[in-house]
Amino acid sequence: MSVPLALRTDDLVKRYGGAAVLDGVDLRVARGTITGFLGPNGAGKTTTLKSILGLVRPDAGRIRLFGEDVATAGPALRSRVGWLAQEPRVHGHLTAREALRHALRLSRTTADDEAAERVEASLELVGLSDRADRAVRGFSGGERQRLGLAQAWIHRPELLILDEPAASLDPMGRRDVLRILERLRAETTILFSTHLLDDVERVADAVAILDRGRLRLQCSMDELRASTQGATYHLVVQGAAMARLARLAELPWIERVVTERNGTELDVRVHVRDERKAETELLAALTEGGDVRVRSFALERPRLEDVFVHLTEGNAA
Amino acid sequence: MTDTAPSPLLLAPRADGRAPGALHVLLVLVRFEARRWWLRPTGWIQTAVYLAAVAGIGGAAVLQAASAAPGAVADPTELLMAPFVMHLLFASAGVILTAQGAIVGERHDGTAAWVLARPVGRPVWLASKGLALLGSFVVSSVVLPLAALQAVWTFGGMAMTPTQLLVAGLAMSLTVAFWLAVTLLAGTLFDSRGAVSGLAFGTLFVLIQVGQRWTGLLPSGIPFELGRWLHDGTPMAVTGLVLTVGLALATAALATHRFSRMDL
Repeated sequence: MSVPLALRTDDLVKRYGGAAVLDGVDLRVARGTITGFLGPNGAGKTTTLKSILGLVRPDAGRIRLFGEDVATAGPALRSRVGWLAQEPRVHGHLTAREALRHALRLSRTTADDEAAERVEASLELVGLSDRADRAVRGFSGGERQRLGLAQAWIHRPELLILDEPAASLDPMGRRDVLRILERLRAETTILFSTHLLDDVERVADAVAILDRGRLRLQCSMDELRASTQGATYHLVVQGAAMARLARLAELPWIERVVTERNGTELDVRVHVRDERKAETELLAALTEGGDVRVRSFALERPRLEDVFVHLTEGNAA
Repeated sequence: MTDTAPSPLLLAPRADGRAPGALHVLLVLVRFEARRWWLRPTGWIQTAVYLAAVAGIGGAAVLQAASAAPGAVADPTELLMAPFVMHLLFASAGVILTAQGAIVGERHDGTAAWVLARPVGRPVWLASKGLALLGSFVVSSVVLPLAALQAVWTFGGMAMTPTQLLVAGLAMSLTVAFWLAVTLLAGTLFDSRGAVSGLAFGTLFVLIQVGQRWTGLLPSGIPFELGRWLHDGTPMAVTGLVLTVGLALATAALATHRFSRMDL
């Protein structure tokens, strides 16, 4: 079944002074999803997002928003998109309420009463109702970020593009922003760039990993989990385990065994191909004979971090 | 941070207006920019400077002419052109200093990108900057100072006729528009305020130097032409006015073209 796309880029290329910042990026964002756009600093995430918004002119490639070509569509297409910059800028002399009004006036034509309601709803969404009439210049970084998010959302766009929405925030601010994304999940499609893997694991349905201008991976989180087949069992053992572990490594359902001596204990990581087999036979195979004692036993699932590090370090020059 | 459920409005069906048209956006931005001008002290300070430069110098000229013995003032035209030359110097410098950050400053601090990520075309954004600054400067450096100058000259028995007043106002506004267009173009050519104002002030300096020789041709010659016309009725050179309008429009068009191709 084909999923309708909110955003599609094909072979997107951007060069600065001969160096390719984006090198053939084919990004897909399905409607109704939250997509985490991951990449190390300098990977080209912001350039990609700015290209989508028409702020940066790509040297080659095509960008389609809701099926319309960004290069040929007029600015009206951007009324269906909301954007939060990495460091959101708001005119400091405005109050939060005025800043939201201004953002709405530039994005949609709305009746005065509806505009007022929308401003109140957006203030409530980001938890700034009690600071609505204070000048923005007195806001903390977290409050500015939330106000920026409200400005991006005020006209209820079909696609929200957020550039590192939580990168510069303290843990509380970061938690607040992620909660807002969770609340918007049912309302819109969200594409957010980040280098915080934990944020993607917490809220995203899909992930795209960009590294040095190239898209290394793009899939749903479910696909990612399914693709990282196999598992790792972490054991701490005592006793004469080395010979037993060597025999274990030869079994067909075991991929490899990694050991590390830790005092009188042995730290063991057993990477298995067949999880079911491991569940029933691993412990028995290790403890058979009674000369090996298992002090702890835990299943470790591959994490996004492992995939990210593998993809980005694996392609290092 | 509240933890309540989203308001019913957030969950309501999406039926919220439509994308704003270019004219709507232009008016919103012009109003926003003009408000900024009059809400900041610099707008009022500049107005006071123009009042002093135009009406103050004009008033002094009247006093000098009135108190001098007959024939003592060698060239009365110079007295009449003085307020307009002062306007050229002060208003052009004011326009350059104010408009130098209109593009470069907003690019650097991200506010240009913030606006242009919305359904706002780049020509509309640039036009809003130009129109808001032009309107503010026309009020600050033309309308109010000219009204004060007329009051002073009326007191001295040298009041301008309504036609003279209108032509003087239009000519002064044209000067403002020209230097605004030059500064906006410089903002699309360079990435620093210093370079932008350097180019604009350099152009001003050169044009003032040569403007006195070819008053009927160059934008900087307008005050001299105006003084001559007020003194003895010598018609202002149409060539200079048309050329200035043409140059201002061409410069604005080039600035728009350049800005439409910039990465933000």
